[in-house]
Amino acid sequence: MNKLEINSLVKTYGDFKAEASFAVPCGSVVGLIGENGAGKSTIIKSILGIVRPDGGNILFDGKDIERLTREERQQIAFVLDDTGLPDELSLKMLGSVLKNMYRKWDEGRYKRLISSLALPENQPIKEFSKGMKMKAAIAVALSYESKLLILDEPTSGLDPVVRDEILGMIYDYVSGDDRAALISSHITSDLEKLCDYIVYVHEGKVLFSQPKDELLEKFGVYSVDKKILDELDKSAVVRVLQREYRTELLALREGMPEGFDMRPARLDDIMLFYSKGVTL
Amino acid sequence: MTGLLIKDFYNLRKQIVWYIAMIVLFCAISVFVRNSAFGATIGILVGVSLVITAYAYEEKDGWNKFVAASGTGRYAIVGEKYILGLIFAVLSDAAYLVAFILIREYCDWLDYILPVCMQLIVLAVALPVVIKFGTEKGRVYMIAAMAISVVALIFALMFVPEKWGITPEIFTAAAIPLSLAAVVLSYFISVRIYGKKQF
Repeated sequence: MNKLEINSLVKTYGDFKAEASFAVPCGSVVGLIGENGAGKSTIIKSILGIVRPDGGNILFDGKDIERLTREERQQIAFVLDDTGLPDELSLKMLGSVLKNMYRKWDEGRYKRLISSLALPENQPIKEFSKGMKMKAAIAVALSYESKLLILDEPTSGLDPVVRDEILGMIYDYVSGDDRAALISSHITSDLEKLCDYIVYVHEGKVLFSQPKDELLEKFGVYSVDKKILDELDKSAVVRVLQREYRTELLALREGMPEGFDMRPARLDDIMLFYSKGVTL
Repeated sequence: MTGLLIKDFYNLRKQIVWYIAMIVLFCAISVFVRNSAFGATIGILVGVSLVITAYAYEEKDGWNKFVAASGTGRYAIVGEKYILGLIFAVLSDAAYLVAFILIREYCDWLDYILPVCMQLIVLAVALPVVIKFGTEKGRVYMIAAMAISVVALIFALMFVPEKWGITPEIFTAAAIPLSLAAVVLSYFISVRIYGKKQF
């Protein structure tokens, strides 16, 4: 069963058009990857109701997101790229604000999270580092009852220790019953660690939406010279990148002959080949 | 809505202290010089300034996106700003009332009613403009719109009562309900504008 379904979503900003269809199954973490400006944040903002899509529909637990009640909408927890938390407030003050906004706010859990993340309760948020602000936003998102956690670039610009802590919290969240998470990031190494599915957005379009393990097993990066390239089965070659001294291919491992120098493709490679490479 | 109000009070806590001091000072000046204009003017400024500052904080922090994603409806989001403005208006009007009573013999009731109405009209004009254009762009449009509204009100006060035979008593009785009606109308316009906004 899918926790979230995005069907033929369309959102246009001037010349830019984002189109997306994919699903977030229950119990899974779905990673949304793509270059800066590819349309990841537009998709997330559409799900959260921050922008209005021009077409398509979004279903949460099978119900159109436009028709959700306030209680149902509050079952979607979120972390925005800029957090959106009021800078002048301390976390203690913020708690007293949010307990009056969220019907299922858990003040005890909020205090435990603040304490376990070593965040100062009485210091204004404007004095926090970027990592502390992001941890605070995650503490907020995890302090009310929810079924879906949506995070927009939660690990961007953070050091590996904080990133690891954040990934651990997302992993713990999804291990609960009937929950799922959608995380957008261009730090693909984080997504490789955490995600069950990968959705790749390129120039506003979803190029693929697949289980991560299948995806990483399917593609390989090959280094060949031009003569050999002409002799290869073209249908197996997905993208070609011309380097100064060699040609690199992203190809389907199944369709490639054995004996080539191959390394398994990482998500970084896939993104790079799709954005910079050419088709044969 | 309570949560949103608490957030704005926390955000504005430092400015509120200053504004209270200004209200007290201006009302004291009014009493001292026996002229109600000082207390009246500060009341008009306070109500609208604090609400616009609150909105500016939200724009700076990206709170607009947070609150839109939180499931809080547009009626509550917009309504909170009107309630905030009315709370500050009532507080400044109460202080002005004390000053006004102390110098009652030098003033007419219209000197009290008129600034209170202006305060409501300024709020009714400013909020839709700021919600539509944001605080940066909206400030210029808002000042222009408020100036036009206040000049129109003064013009109406000077000519309409005499021409249409409206006595000061009738005007005083009608001014506050009409100003409140302007606030209510403004609220629905703001809700409509906010409903079309994307962040």
